Amino acid sequence: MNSGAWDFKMASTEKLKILIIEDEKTLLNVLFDKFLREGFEVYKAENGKEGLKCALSNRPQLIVLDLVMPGMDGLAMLKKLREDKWGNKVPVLILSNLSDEGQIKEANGRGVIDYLVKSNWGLGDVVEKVKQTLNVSVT
Amino acid sequence: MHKQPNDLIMKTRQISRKILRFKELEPIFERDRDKDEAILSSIGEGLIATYKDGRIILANPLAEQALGWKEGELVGKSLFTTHPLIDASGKEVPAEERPVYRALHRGERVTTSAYSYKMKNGAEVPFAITATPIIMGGKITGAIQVFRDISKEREIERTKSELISLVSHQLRTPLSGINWYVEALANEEIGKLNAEQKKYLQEVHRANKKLVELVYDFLNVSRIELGTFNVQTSVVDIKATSKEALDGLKPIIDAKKLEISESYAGNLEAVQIDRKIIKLILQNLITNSVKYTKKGGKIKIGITAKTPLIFGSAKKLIVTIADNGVGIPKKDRQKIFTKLFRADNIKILDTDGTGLGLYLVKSFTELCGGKIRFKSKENVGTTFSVILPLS
Repeated sequence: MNSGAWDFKMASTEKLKILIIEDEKTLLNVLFDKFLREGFEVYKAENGKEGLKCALSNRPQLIVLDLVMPGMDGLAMLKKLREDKWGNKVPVLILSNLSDEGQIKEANGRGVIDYLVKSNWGLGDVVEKVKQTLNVSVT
Repeated sequence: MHKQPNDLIMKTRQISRKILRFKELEPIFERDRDKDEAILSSIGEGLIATYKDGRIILANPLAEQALGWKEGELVGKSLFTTHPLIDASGKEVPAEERPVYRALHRGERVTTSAYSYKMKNGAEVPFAITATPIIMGGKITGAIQVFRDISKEREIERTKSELISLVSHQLRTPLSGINWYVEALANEEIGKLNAEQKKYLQEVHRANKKLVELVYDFLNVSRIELGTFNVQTSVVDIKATSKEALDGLKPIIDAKKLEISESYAGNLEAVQIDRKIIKLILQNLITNSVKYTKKGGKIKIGITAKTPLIFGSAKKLIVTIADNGVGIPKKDRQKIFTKLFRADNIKILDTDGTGLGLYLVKSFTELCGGKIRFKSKENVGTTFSVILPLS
């Protein structure tokens, strides 16, 4: 399970950057620590507004986005993100516990990589999904 | 020739006596009629009586109230036009499918809580309806509709389902938390562990997984009851889905040394069906067979996609799961598909089940327009067959 052997440094020795936007501190922390162990440069935000600011200024290679958040929720953040020239292209992975068909449809309409239900996916599975996604876009 | 005057007088007297007697009885007739009217008016449910052709003979005060029509406006009109029947999806039910039609034409007594009536002002109100035929001299001469407003009951049902949905969603967050922290710990990503510590963490992980499944089941139950589950078809690899279910059960299958035989016929790699539904059906039926078959038992899984010989009918997916397990006791057959029901003979074998599995399988099967059947004999075995129409 320990995939420290996977070398994530790109040619210019820059680590891959990911941003995690999640309002539940306990989930945010365990995800943050995991991606750190996996060799990523990790940014975190606890709501949509902070997340949007962080995304636009740090330009991560991928964003892990929760949907249900106070203030600006995931879908609202995503809408605003897609209005930005860079933001329109960045891969977004939705990580939510809602299995609401309506939300899924709207998320897909804004170009998300996938919609994962948190309680159905292990920590390692989420990382695997992120690695898969970035592998595709890196090559 | 005139009759004798005496005859005439006698005849007149006879007739007079008859008239007098009739007049004496009149108050009694009137009393009886008043009594009947009093009874009808006091019935605690709406009541409408009709002729054989559906024309209304009478309607009691509660019927007037319920439907928004005065009795005077209803009498003589056809009930098929005065108060249309609306189904759960908001569509008007055609005359031939209405309970009162079955009472009038087939002499059936029909009770149902699945419909609403459209009132005079267009509002739709849910009712529990009973339609019965009026039989005189062995022939159906009319029908009686009795109905009760069940808006309150529906409201309560809805609140219950919404609560289940809300709670289920709320539970997922802490469950995800436990899952991920335990996973990281168990994989020794936060420090090395001894064998005992690993074992303990694995138990926590397993218990958590069960909770997640339970929440998932409850969410599905609430979706079915609220009617919020949208059937979405896509291309599904049925064979893979079946093998996935078996993989998940490998530990138990190996421990019990169960003999599993699979047969997949027809083109099952690219079937158009709702992925979540077929997964749930296969998962539940296969898991049941595995759980409720004793050591060394046999389980047969057969799935075929049949194209019917009759042109125009839908292609069908036929799933058969057979085992030589403990079977379903005769007394429990009727209840096997009800929510939270678990037969006594399997509770001893496995303390864990929720009793929701078969309820969900049946509900989802029927949601797709499919059918589910089973054959079973205690201590001999059980075979479940599910037939699903394919797009």
